[in-house]
Amino acid sequence: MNDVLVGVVIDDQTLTLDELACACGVNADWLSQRLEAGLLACCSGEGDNRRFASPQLHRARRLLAIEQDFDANQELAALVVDLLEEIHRLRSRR
Amino acid sequence: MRFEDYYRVMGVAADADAAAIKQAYRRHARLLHPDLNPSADAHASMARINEAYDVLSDTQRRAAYDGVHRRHRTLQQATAEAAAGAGKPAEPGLPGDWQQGFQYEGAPSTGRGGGEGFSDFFTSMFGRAAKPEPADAKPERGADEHVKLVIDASDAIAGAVRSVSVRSLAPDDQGSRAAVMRNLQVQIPKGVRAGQHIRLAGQGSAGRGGGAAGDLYLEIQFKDTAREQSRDVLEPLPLAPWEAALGGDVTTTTPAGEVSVTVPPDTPHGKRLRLKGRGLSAQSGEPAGDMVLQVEVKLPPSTLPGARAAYEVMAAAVGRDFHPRAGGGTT
Repeated sequence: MNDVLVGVVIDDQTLTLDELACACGVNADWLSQRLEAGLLACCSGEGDNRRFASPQLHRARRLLAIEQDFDANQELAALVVDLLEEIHRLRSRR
Repeated sequence: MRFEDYYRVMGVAADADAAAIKQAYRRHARLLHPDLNPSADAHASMARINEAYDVLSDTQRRAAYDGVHRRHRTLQQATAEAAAGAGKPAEPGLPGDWQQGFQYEGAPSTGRGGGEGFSDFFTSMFGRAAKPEPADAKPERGADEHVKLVIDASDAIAGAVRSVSVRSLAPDDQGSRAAVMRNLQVQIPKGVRAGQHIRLAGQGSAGRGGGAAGDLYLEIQFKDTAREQSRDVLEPLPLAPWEAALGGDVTTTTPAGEVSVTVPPDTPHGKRLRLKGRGLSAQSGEPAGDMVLQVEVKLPPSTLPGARAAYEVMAAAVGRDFHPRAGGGTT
């Protein structure tokens, strides 16, 4: 029988920029560009000490998927993600 | 194993160029995006489209696939003609040696986005490297993998162990990496909420040249999406008619364990009783949620010994003054 694996909730142990890049399968520059453009935010810290939690991981992966699947530029992808997040918020309030 | 006709899945001709394939992918992606298409089979349909696009958009994979696609079509025609000649219906499934001559020299793949829902056909064709990795390969960390894990809200209240299937690259007997399906038993931490990710270090794809394995991220979703934004948990509280009418302390089993509840006299069906702080536990500065118990008055069937007589006594005693179809019930 398999051992039971115990993980960590990434909101309890947040990710560094490099860890977030690995989790998204991109290099850190890709994330830095979107952070500087205000399309993605960190949950705490500044500069090299920026930390990221579940919402940022989810958003970064969505941005990447939309940019790749639709050849969208980063601003347009961020607009689509903003709208998707708004739809989710409105649906869950019903 | 079922042959997958990726051209048919994408709705393009076998000689479609890269632009036409990309256009078809975008058309399907818009229709099947999980935020826009709430149907139950949209996820599985999108996984098929992703799988087809993963193969047809990659030059090496498409070239390898086209070989078996042509061979499969030829064998299928021949089988159908032979069956027609013998006056029998053509047998469904794959003609015998359709894989003969298949050659794929590219890197092994677990599929687009971790290959959730990808077919065995894809794994057997593209999940294995043609040659073993060289012994002096530069160490490279394995890829992180992502899987969505759908749980009951009750799993998040009490914690639970759940099984997860993940497709990742693992070392094979020949020293290469190959896509394999692994089943893992994972502890769901108490208090986890929808949208959070659980990180399992070293459970992603194997690294190259002795590099470390990647991590596995589990994205939590609740089966009941209405509960996702709240730390409150709604559970039924079944009551006998006399418990609801007379009130008193009752004990009920909830995901948080056994709880004792004081039911006020004349509690109507559907009323919600709130147990403060018994829902999803406090986290990240948010207070704990509440356990909300919704009363369900259960009538004893008249076939139970004594029940019919009791109903008749009740009807005689209160039937004159109780009118359930007239507003509040009493007049």
